[in-house]
Amino acid sequence: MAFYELTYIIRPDVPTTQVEVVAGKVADLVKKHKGKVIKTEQWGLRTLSYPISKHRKGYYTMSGLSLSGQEAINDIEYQLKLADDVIRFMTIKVEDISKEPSAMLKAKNRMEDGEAGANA
Amino acid sequence: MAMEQPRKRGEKTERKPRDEFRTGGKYTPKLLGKAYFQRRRGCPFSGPKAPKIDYKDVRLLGKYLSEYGKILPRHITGVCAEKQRELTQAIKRARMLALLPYTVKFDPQNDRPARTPRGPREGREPREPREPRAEASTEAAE
Repeated sequence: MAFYELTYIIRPDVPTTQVEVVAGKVADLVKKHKGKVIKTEQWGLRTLSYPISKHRKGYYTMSGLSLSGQEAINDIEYQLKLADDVIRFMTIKVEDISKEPSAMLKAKNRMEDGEAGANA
Repeated sequence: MAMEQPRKRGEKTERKPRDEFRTGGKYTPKLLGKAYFQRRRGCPFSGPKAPKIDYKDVRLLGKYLSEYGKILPRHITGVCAEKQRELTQAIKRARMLALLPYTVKFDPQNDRPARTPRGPREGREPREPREPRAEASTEAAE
């Protein structure tokens, strides 16, 4: 078993529910390969640093996965490549997945401090 | 100033006599001596309280980019070689996910990026039509 971090960007002109749909598909794929989704973070709609296929914004999702074997990763990456709503994705192998929210979420929460519903 | 050899800690060396500073005299950096030229801080990623290098920490990584979006060299930031390799990796990952730019259009005359990387911005501003050229062409036609 190894840990992986999968981050992907969903195009902004799609209904917000699509974010959940893609996350569900990823979860299904992981289950199919007998892996585990350890955590999922929604970073929400962010402005991209440069346009990707003419989009200037995108919905970011980061999830920590526990999988065994390269095949599982290959399959997930293949499926993401085919998904039209996913404009960019990246999987990296990590030593471990911390339970705490990542720096991205922390920064976001800091910005939303005082406002209700800071947890994503 | 010639490059001084790194001295071992605790090793005693003879110090050159300092320049004299007279009142009313010009205060040049040379008079400040060693302290001015050899201000060296340790690597910001070494030590117990050092932050973890992570591609998700955009705010941290942004500090190690030039105004054009290039990765700053070690001799400017003081990052040690090992951490610089990690940092480079993290910045490149963040760039891939469009968290950081590959390049920034920077206008040195205005001293700010031509394209604002942050803040809400919907779409592109409409471009002004190129009138002078059109006029010139009609004049030529007449």
